[in-house]
Parts: sequence; C-alpha cells; structure tokens
Amino acid sequence: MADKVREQRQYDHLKARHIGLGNADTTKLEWMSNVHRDTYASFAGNAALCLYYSVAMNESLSLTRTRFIEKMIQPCGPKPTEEE
Amino acid sequence: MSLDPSLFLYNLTLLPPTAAVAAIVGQFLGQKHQEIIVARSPGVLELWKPDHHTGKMERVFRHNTFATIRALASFRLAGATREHIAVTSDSGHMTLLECDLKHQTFTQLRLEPYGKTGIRRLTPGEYLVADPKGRALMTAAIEKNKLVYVVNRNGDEVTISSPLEANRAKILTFALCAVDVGYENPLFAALECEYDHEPSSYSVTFYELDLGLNHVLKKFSAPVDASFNYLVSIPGGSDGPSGVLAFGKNSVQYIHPNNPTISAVLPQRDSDTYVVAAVVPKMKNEFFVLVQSQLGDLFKLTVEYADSVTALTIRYFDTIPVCKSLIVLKRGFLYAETETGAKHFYQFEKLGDEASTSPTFHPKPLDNLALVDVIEALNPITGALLKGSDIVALCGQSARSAVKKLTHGLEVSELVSSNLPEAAQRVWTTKLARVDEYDKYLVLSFAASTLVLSIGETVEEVADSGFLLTSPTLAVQQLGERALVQIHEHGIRHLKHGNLTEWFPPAGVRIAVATTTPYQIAIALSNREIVYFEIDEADNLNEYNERAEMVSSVTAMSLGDVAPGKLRSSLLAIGCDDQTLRIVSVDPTSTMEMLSVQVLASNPANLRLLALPDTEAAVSFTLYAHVGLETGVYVRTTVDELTGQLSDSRTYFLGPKPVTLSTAVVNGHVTIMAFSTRAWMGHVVGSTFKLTPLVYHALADGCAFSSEDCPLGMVGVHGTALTIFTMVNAHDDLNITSVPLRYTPRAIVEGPKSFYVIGADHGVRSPYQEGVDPETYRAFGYERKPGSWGSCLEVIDSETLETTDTVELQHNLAAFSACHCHFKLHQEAFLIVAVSQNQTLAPNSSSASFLYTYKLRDGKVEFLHSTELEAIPLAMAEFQGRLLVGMKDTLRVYEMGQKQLLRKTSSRLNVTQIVKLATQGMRVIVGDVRQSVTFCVYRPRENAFVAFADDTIARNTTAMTMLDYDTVIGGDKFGNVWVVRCPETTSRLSDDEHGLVDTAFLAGAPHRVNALCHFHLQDVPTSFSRGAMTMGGLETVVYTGIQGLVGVLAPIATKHDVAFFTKLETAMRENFESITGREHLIFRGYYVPVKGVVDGDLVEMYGVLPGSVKAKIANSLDRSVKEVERKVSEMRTRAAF
Repeated sequence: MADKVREQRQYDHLKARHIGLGNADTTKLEWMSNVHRDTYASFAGNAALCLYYSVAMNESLSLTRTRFIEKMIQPCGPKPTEEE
Repeated sequence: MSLDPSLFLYNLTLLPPTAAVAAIVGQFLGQKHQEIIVARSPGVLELWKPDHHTGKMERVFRHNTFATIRALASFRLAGATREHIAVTSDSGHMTLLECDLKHQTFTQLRLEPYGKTGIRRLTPGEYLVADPKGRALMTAAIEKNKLVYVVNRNGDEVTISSPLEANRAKILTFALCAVDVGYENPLFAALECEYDHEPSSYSVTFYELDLGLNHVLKKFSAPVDASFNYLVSIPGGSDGPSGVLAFGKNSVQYIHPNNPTISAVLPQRDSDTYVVAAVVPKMKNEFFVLVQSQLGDLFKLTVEYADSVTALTIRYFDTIPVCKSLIVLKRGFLYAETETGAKHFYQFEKLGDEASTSPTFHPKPLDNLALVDVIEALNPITGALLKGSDIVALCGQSARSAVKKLTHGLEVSELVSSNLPEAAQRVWTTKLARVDEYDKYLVLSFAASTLVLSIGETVEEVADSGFLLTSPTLAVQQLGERALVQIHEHGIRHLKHGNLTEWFPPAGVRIAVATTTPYQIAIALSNREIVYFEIDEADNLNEYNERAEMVSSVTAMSLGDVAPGKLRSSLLAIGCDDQTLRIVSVDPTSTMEMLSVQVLASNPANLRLLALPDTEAAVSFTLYAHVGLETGVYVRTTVDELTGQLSDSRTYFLGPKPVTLSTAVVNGHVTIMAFSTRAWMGHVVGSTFKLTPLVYHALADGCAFSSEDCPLGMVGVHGTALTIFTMVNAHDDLNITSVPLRYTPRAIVEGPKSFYVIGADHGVRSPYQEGVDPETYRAFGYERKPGSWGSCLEVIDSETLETTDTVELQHNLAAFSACHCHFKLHQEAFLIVAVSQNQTLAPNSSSASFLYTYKLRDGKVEFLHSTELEAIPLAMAEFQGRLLVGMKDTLRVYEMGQKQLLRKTSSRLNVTQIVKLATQGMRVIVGDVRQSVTFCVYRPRENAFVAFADDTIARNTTAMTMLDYDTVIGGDKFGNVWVVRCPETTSRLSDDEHGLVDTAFLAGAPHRVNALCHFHLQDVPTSFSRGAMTMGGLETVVYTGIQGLVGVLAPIATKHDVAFFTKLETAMRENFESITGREHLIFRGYYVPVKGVVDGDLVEMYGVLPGSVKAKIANSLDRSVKEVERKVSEMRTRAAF
C-alpha cells in the first residue's frame, strides 16, 4: 500500500515537472488537451505559421497570436461533468 | 546522408524574409546616435542607422544566425557606454551580443543554455524583457516557465548569473514587461491566465527579483478580465509613477502594487479596439504612451500623477500600418516595424495634444506624423510565378496588397538628362587641381571630335580649355598639383598654368591606347610600342628612355590607382590582340619588365586595374585586373601587387557586346562598372563579389561624377543622351515595380497577355459598390464586419503592369482559386474562378460554392455562366483540354457547356482536402492539406482517376510543382521543402493500362514515393516556379515564403561537385558557429533530417571566416583557399545573382 502511495506521489511530482506526462488513467480529454496545447503553442511561437494564419483570417498578427494562446486554456472544451 | 542520390540541390537565399520578430533601439555602437536592431524571421539580425538629417534609414549590416530568433531585448549595464543585446532563439540558449562595427557583425559575449531546442510550449524564450536599469533579464515560455537572469559587469566583461526560476504550473503567459522601479529591486509584470480551474482567471502578476537574497518571488497579483492581451510599463523612479498599463478589449487599466487600479476606455472606430503595440517616448520631464490598435490607429495616452496616478487621458493620434514594434528615437522620429508590408519611418510634427478625448473617432490622414522614409518589404508573399527571369509575387494583406514584379538590378535615380549633338563614345570627369574637392570638367569624346563642359551650377561648354577639340580623346587626367593632360590620337597635350606643352608620336604613328594616374602616363602606339611618362615635382612630363615593344597590337591598358601615400602604381596591365593580358612593371628598378601573361578567351576591349575590398567591412583589399572582352565577357583576375602574378580568374557573361569598364563609389565602397548591352555594377556584398545590372539605359560609357550638389554620382552616355545619376541603394539588388490590389491576393494565374489575380478579405465590408477612393482604404483599412467578405478578380497586363479590369464579387462571395483553362473542344481559353458564399473560417463552412466562368476579352473578362458545386475547390488545373477540379477529397473533370460547366467524371481519393494540383499527360499529382502528395493516373476506359502512389510522411502541403514526370517539389506549413519521386517501376506500371494492382497497401495507395530531398526553411513556402534566374544560367527552382523569403534551389550537376559541396558544408558546420548556439544540421532538419540539399547560405559564409580557418578547411578538402572561394562563387553565378 505504502508503495502505491509513494508511486502515486512520485508520479504527481513528475507530472508537475513534466507537463503532459500520462499514465494508464489519463483520460482522452486530458491527452487531447495536451496535444492541442502543444499545437497552439507552436502556432503562436512559430512566426511564419502565425503569419500564415493571420493573413488567411485577415487579422492582426499579434491578435492571431493572442487567440492561439487563448485557445490553450480549454482547447477541447470543458471537463465533462461527472457521469455516475 | 548518402552522397550518391539522383538529385542534389543547392539552396541560396536571394532575399531574406522581411517579416520582423522584434525591433529594439539603443546606442549599440557606443556612439552618440541611436541605432535600431531588427530581427527578421528566421534568424537574420540587422543593424539600421537612422539618419536624422536626411530622414533615411540605412542598413549598416546584416548577420545570419542560422537559428530562429524568438525575442530580443536591449540592456545597458550600469556605467556602460553602449547597449548590449539579449537574444533568445530556438537553440534554447540565452545569448548576449554586442555590435562589432569594424567587422560588421555581432559578437557573442555569453551563451547560457536554459532549455530544450525548438519552439515549445514550456521552453522559455517566447518573451524576453530587460530591467530598465540593465540589472536583470526575464524570459518566459507561453506556459508555466519563467527565468530571471542577473546581468552584471566585471571590468569590461559582461557576466550573467545562473537562471532563477519563477515557474508556476498551469498558467499561460500572454505578455511580459519589465517594470521601471528605478534602483529598487527589479520587478517584472506578466499578464497571465490560470487555466486549471473554471472559469479561468486572468491577472497581472508582479515578480520581484530580490537582489540581496538572489531569488524571485511573486509579489502581487491584480485580476483583470479575460479580454486582456497587452502590457506596457511606464517610467518609474524619478521619471514617473512606475507601474504598468494593461490593455484589453476597449479598455486600459493602470496597475501598480501600491496604488489603486485606475481604468479608462479606449476610443473605438467601427469595431472593438485591442492594443497590439506600444511605445513610451520620454522627453525631459514628461512622458506619454503611444499605443496602436489592431486596425493601426495610434492613441496618445497621458498619465496624470502626483503622488500616485489619478487619471488616464486617451486621444486619437494618427493611423499608420499595424506594427510589430514601434520605436521612438530621441531626435523625434518614429520607426514603425510593420507586421506586413513596407516599413515606415516617420517624423513627429506635433504631439497631438489638441485632439478630442471622445470615445469614438474617425481616422484621418497623418496629422501629427510625417512619413519620411519607406523601406520596401515583401511580406507576406502569398504566391508567385516566374515571368522570364522576373519574379511576379503576390504581396501584402488586405487593402495594402500589391502584385510586385522583382527584376534583378539596381535602382538608379536620374538627376539630369540632356541631349548631345551626336552619340558620345567616351566620357570623363576631371578636376583641375589636386586640391579640388569636386570635378570641374566633363569631357566627351565623339567619333571625330571632343567636347569639354564645365561643371558648376550649370553645365556649360568651355571654349578655352586648351584641349584639342577636333579629334576624339583617348584619356583625360589631372596630373600632379595643377596640371591637366589630354591624350588624343595624335599626341599628348599637357596644360600647366595655362602653358601648353605637346608631345607627338613619330610621324605616321598614332596613339592607340592610353592610361593614366595622377603621376603617370602610359601610351601604346600603333607600332606596338609602349611609351611611359612620369611627372616630376614641377609637374613636367618625363619620358622613360626605353620603349617596350609588344608582340602584337595593344587593345587596352591600365595603370590602376595610386595607393594613398605612394607616388606611382607599379604595375601596368596591357591587353593585346593575341588574346592575352600582360602585366608589365613600371617600378623605377625594373621598368618595362614583363611580369606575367595570361591567355584570355578573346581579345580584351577594355582593362582596369582596381583593388576591391575583400568584405563589405573593407578591412583588406585585393588588387584585380578587370578585363572586358570583345565577346561581352567580363573577366576578373587577381593580381599580386608585388610580383604582378595573375591567378584566380572569374568570368561573367554580360551581354553580346564588347565590355567597357569604369569605376564608381557607391555607398562609400569602390565598385567596378561594366558596360555592355546593359550597365553592370560589380561590388562586394558580405564577402562575395556580385555583378548587378542597373535598371537603366544601356550606357555606352560612364564614370564617377562629383559636384557640390551630387558628391557621389555617375555620369553616363547612351545614344545621344548624357545623364547624371546616382545609385540609390546598393543593398537592394532587386528592383520592385508594384501594382496595388484591393484585397489579400489568394492566387495568380498567367494568361497569354495578362495576369489574373483573385483576392479575398475576411471580416470586411467591401466599399467598392460605387466610385470610392482606394487610397483612403490603403491608409486606414476596410470597415470591419464579422462574417462579411470583400473579394474581387483583377486583370493585370503582364507587360505594362496596369490593371485593365476589375470584377468585384457581390452577394458575400469570396474567390479562393482560379485557373486559366483552354478547352480543346471549344478551341478557346476561359478563366474559371472558384467562389464560395457566406464562407466561414474555423469551422470551415459556406452556404454555396460555384465555379464562375469568364470569357477573356483583350485585357477584360466577361462573365459567362456559373456552375454550382457541393464544396469549394481549392485547386484547379487544365487537364487534357478540360478542367480538372480538386474539391475536398474529390477529383472532377468538367467540360465547357452552354449554360454551365458539364461534369464528366468524378473520383474520390483517400485524402482530406485537395489544395494543389499538377498534371502532365494522364498523370495528376494531388497535394493535400495534410496528407502530402498523391500520384494519380487517369484511366480513360474506366473514366476514373486511380491513385497509385502516395507519401510516407503526412505533410501539410502549401505549395507544389512538378520537376519532371516522376518528381515533385513541395513545401509544407511547417517550413519544409521536400522533393519526392515516384519509383521508376511504379511510374512505368502506372502508364500501362493493366500494370497497376488496385490493392491498397497499408491503408494507402498501392505504392509509395521516395523522398529525395528535405530541407527546412523556417518560412512557409507559398510558391515554387522553375526557371533560370540569370542569362545562360542553370534552371533552378525559385521559391517564395510567406514572410517575404525568396530563394532558389539549384541542382548540383556532377558527383564531383556534390562531394565537394557536402564536404565543404560539413566543414563549415564545424567551423562556423551560429552566434546563438544553434546547430546548423538541426536547424535545417527541424522536423525531418536534412537530405539531399546543401545550404549555400552557410557555404557562402566561408568568405567571412578568418584566414587561418579558411586555410584549414581548404586543406581538409585538398584545395587552396582561392579554389574553394572560386567554386562557391561560380555556383552562385550559375544559379542566381
């Protein structure tokens, strides 16, 4: 039992350090959100990609970038309410 | 990397991207004036110097870091006389740099690793700010991580501490700024969002660096609402109230840890106002904040304060293009580093204090600012094609869009042009005395006469010049202190203080060629004798007692220039009509001794000995013999200054006409001018010698011209005209002609005489219903209206570049693709435009999609009919005399009909959204939005398209073109360029009706293509076109990128060259380190390892390496330094300019 607790703690510690770390209990939403956040961060960070989108959307580059970071908040929608 | 692939490419950047990452200002050179450093997108750092007298921005130098620069900051350490530069890049290092003006480069001071390479969510470097007092730097990632560095000084050395962490899990950072707190502990403010709980909470959080305890703590956090996106800090200490301004939708808040928050409303135009850029100009005892909205409107924000801030006042200021960075210089200039399009440089006329503070406004023409300089920029390039060797690019966004034609050549600004009685053959300018600052005489030589003009306020004919006017002149020279000499066919006229002394050749002998320096004269007689003169202290000419006799007639001669502090040039170059170049000594100890001979390809027509700098910094010079041949070839041969030995010839073909040579000074650098069918300028750019044509008349001759009004001009003759001109900017060797467009261009199609450009803008209300002034919209942009589209089709004459017709699309239609299609059955070409109605982006939907067919009528288009489709086709092509349409995952063929287009076949493929199509014969290459390319073949018997080969990597294709029947070059959204080829057997099978097996292999087509090349550009490729960029050059692939990148990929022809260039590139990777610490191999292999491409940009850096390193590399390649340099330069001249 103590081992399990320790394992869990170790996992929590690692997860705090390395965002995106998953295990068997990772939900699909959690995993998807993580992938989407990576993607949006890449869109916001890569100047060429950001410009590409901003030209397509006809929007200011800096606002396009802000939109991408905003999308990182809840990239795949809110957590579903607990269904028992 | 295999060294024996079937295709090997050489990448060369022609125009580095112009999209800026960041711009900073400071006294980087430690001199009185301020400079601006701009980071252009994939890692080009540029130092610009604004000239407050002329109001021009001048680029001092440019440095390629071969890394992606993410952020820049400038900081000045306490007691330092200059600013240093902090850079974060995708190398995962914090780099501290300083400017080195002498070597025209940036020097690395510190390189501190902080995280993984690449642009990642958690790797700091996205934001970088410096404490205003230069004590600390903070860099942040988009999520979680923040690092603080303490910077200091140890003597002359800059030191940087290990980073202090200020990480907070589950937060996103939108903006970061350094708070001005005077000399208290450095304070940083971040606009953050905690996303873990619901609803997510936005706040401005202050982080304090405790210098005593050496740690960072979260000091204070003020909640703001979810629309906030921008932060700017306001002066503190003795200059102001300190604190930050946070901007959100229509609102601004003043936030300070010790003061109550104060809010104000931002003025609105016709939509919500968001702030995207700001600058805080500081005057003696006051400051204000200039902020810019996403529509480009500038607002002046003044902060009223006593002990603490009491009110914020906001006034509309002016409207300029939307900027990435705004920079205000102490001299009252504003540099606008625009997000897209040309960069602007303004001067403040007034400070706009009288404007109203009303919450709404209408934009007005510039009132407080005056535009003083415009720096042309191409970004974004949304498409391009090659027309001859000119690049026709679609540039710009929304109302500031244009079609730009890029012609290789230097722009010339003509000052005066006047007519001559007949066509002049030669032209000289000369001073009258050595001390003269400017030229006094302009001498023109005609077929049988000479004309002397005086240079002053007006140019007038001089009657009493003492020159022989009835004979053509061979040379004119100001000699010694005050003497002047004219050399004509029948003698030398030496004019000293108004006294004329003449020298005549033996009877029956003419002077064929003459060359002079201010102390020497050498003439070649028609009897092949060379006569040499020098002057004494009294400016008298003394003939050398021996004449040298050449083996054949002399066609050209040059003494070169006399180096400062010397009395003579010790070498005489002689070109003879036995196709040789000879170097003869004219040194007193060995006069007329033959030093070396070189055989040329044809007879020399003109010769000049001229030393050129080795690099742009002009630290060292090399003497060259420049030879213009009768066949129109220009040869540049290195001459050893002491021994006169000739080596390392480089040849350039200039045009089918003998080459005449001259010199000029452009941008402070000595250049060689060559005149053939065009005028060319040979100059050193970076470390390479470049020949650039002038976009001007075909001059017969020219020479440097210096007068009070025009100190560094050129005078030239062409036909019966005499012109005085200056070279505007030797840096920009591409001349740009542009035609304005209405909307962001989406595609360009070439017809027989016209270009058809379609444009579409999202979220704007089109004003083009009736007559409107497009200039207003170019300045202020269109009125915003969500969900609305402005779209049109424009016809541009491909020769004159004039818009001949414009069709505005009504009913909220937007055009996305176009095709010029020749229908075989109708024997007529039509223009097909794909339009969609009520299109929404993200999610992608529309109420209807159509193919509009237009008849082509001599520069006009005439609407014929429309065909409704289920989805918008993003790619179309002419296929077997019919129209091929790529619509979602379907390939369809249409035939021309009376009322609409007639559907002939439709095949669904295993793709997502077809975005590009290319065809050859029965083969169709489909470029998909995320599944790379698929090779398809049309089966007439089944009337269907069959996919037979696809790619193993899912690439997000953005541009694609066929190189041959089996090979495709393409680019993807992540900035990769790749070449894939269908295996030969598969290709053969596909052409055989029964050859293909239709079984899918691993859920894809039955066969796979092979990747031949892969290369990372760090810019999204938007077009690939095939063509030769130079006269008689290699056929290359010219590509453009969204950020304004223009480059070429040239095939390396032989295995021998492949081996040489790959070895050289490997050696360069080891010896040329990026100043930001990025590994070149990883940079060019960002997503997929580099394959089959040599980075010519890196290889060309060979020229700037120190001599010992050059020698080491050359040794390892078993070649000499000169040989290596020559190979590199030859590759460049063959592939591009």
